[in-house]
Amino acid sequence: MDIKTELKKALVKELNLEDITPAEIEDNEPLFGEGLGLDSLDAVEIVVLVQRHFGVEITDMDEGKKAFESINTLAAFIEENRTDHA
Amino acid sequence: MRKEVPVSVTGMGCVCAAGFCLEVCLETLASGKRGPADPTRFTNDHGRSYPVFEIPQKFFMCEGMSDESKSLTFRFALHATWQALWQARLNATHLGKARVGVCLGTSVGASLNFLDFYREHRAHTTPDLTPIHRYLTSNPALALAQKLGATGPVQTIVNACSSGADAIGMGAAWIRQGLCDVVIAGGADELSEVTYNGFIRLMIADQNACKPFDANRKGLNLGEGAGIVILESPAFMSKHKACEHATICGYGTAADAHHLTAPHPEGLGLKKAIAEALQQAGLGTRDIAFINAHGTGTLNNDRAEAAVFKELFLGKPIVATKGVTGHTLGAAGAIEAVFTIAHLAAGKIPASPGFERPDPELGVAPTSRPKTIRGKVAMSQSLAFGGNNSVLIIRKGRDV
Amino acid sequence: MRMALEGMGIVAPFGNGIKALKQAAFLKISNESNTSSTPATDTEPLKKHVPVRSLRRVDHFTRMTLLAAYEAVNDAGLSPADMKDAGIVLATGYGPARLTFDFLDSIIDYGPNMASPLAFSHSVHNIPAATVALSMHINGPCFTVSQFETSVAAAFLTARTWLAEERVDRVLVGAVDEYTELLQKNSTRMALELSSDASGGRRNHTPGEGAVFFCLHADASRARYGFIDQVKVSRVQPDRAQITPIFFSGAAGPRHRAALTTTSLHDFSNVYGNIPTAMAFDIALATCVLQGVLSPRIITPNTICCLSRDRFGTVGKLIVTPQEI
Repeated sequence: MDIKTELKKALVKELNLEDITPAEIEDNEPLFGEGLGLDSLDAVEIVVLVQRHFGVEITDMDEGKKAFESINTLAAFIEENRTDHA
Repeated sequence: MRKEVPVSVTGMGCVCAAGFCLEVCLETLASGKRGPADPTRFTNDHGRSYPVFEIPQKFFMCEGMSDESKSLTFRFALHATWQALWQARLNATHLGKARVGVCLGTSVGASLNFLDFYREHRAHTTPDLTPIHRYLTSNPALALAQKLGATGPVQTIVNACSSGADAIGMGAAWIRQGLCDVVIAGGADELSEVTYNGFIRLMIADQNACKPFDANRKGLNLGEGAGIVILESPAFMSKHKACEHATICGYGTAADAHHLTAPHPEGLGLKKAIAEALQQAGLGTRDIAFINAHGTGTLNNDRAEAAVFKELFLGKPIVATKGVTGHTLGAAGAIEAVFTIAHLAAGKIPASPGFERPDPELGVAPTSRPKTIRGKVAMSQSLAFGGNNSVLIIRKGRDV
Repeated sequence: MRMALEGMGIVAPFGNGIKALKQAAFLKISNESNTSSTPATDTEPLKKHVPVRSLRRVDHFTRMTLLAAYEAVNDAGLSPADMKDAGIVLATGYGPARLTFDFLDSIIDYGPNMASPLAFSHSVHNIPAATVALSMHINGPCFTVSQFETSVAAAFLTARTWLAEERVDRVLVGAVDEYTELLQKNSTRMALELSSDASGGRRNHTPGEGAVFFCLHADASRARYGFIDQVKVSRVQPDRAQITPIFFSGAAGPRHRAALTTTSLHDFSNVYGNIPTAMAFDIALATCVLQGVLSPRIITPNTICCLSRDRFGTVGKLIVTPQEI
């Protein structure tokens, strides 16, 4: 499964987005504010999800803010930062 | 909100990492000396440091702290209560003749945070029930009332970070409404592995010592302790040689209804609480000589408070004390009320420990050096998780 | 100072609403129903009150809380817009227990580094009350009290104090606890540690959960269901001579119960199960009994005393009186 698909699935499941399917999340739509409409509490939960699923740690929310703009930016961030992760 | 008569404070007690009693805490505040470190009662498994303000083991020999069948939260509360009763010159005989109410705030002290027990339960062993017994016998207000044989109202408030202030506000109302003669009011909380992990995962904990209102602030450090005030009715005060250290003249509390973990950016609920407290005190913003801020050191909290300070209290001295206590959660509002009383009596506020560089975005800054205070009235505010905002207006007592 | 009871919301495994409570009580008293071993409460009707999307992070405890609060407001003939400056007090024995344990699970399963901040934040005791404030846009005082079986009386005392100060005109008082297998297991284990006559019947308690909300007002003319008065929470044991029929809940063996009353003492725990906030169900039931609902099995009295006692010997009590004709 590619990173973007896995990410979308994880978001829908772990953030309980019952009214949307992973396929319906656009790669470049904003995750926060409009678009998916997530907030700061979802952001810290996503930090944990990213670590659990991809082994990538985000220690600074300023770093996180840029990565979290969309599925595209988040997938790129993970790709850049992951070490070998089974 | 109706204007009300002030309620006298006849004694105070507190304990936290800054000191086992108020006098030592004030010395620590004045020196700004601090040494938060990784917790010792549980391990930090995060691979990096998240310091806390832990009460040292050697304090546990102090009066009130030694009963290991009770939670640390209760033991801190009892220790601070003995100090406060001693200062109020209330002995067992006096208390026996009074209706004594007990109103305490806590977070950890009422939480089901038994991690080790739960681990064993998950492993399908049958864990020893001792931690459960300890939890069930340590509800702060219930246990304190039982210990003292108190016959007045009893209440444990769990409003997260404003609990200590809320308990004092509630206790003052009980006195005014004639529900009892004396109230032991305040808050207590202990460091907990569960809460520690929770705040770190919320990414609002600093990896270094916290810096309230500082341009480089990165978050909070947790702390622990208790703050207690003795509130008395005028009738009961006249029955023994009571000394009025301060009065609680106003209390306001309001919900932001904005977000569960972030404060309203313009301090909507805080402004409402301030207005209510001032109304109850029959005072205006100009009457406030200084403010004890909540000042946790997180980006959002300090920003929200600063917005309100700029709007309503521009130029007023602000002191932030969590730089030597850490964030003591349910105890914070009470410990800071006690500090505010002490500062009013001394006519001086210290530099705010941990604060070095003003943040231009905030537009206000707390004290960076000690400041003489000539006024008689101060304000102490607490902003809680969940968006609750509580404010106490405190006046210097006639006898200090 | 007496408080006018203008509305009630009830959410429980036996059903939601006052009718369901009356029915459950009637069946229990007639020995006609069985209690299931694992209580399950239906919170689907909450979706009538709030957008479904807004519930995505809301746990079971908080859903019960929200539903009971909305039902109480509705029942009072009000809408959330009328609640803007109202006070909120929530009584709870254990708080959002399931979410507390979920957070502990995430620490154990993933390690502290990857534990769930969402679970932690929502397990903090005052979050359900804050969620009511958030959902209904209420900016008034918002308290949560937690002191086991005397939580309910303490919540009413808070409401009474605020109304007497004129801090607010209206208060939503709620009482919520949820069932978890672990708490039930601990409860049974501990009851087994006591001798059977000291356990106060706790060995055979059926598990319970639920949420009850009361909408209270300072104005006596709004007393649709009657009045709540003489609220006390203290270690002083009630004066036997003053006690009217008692609806009792909490920790008391036969000796303590006998000391409480010369008249009748009713224990409805088999209606709603073992739950620290049982007194709230008793109060709701009391308003019904005052209207003659359980007659002739329970003779309709003029007032009912609802009383709860905790393990520390603290007693929470209040009087329920009918609306004036």
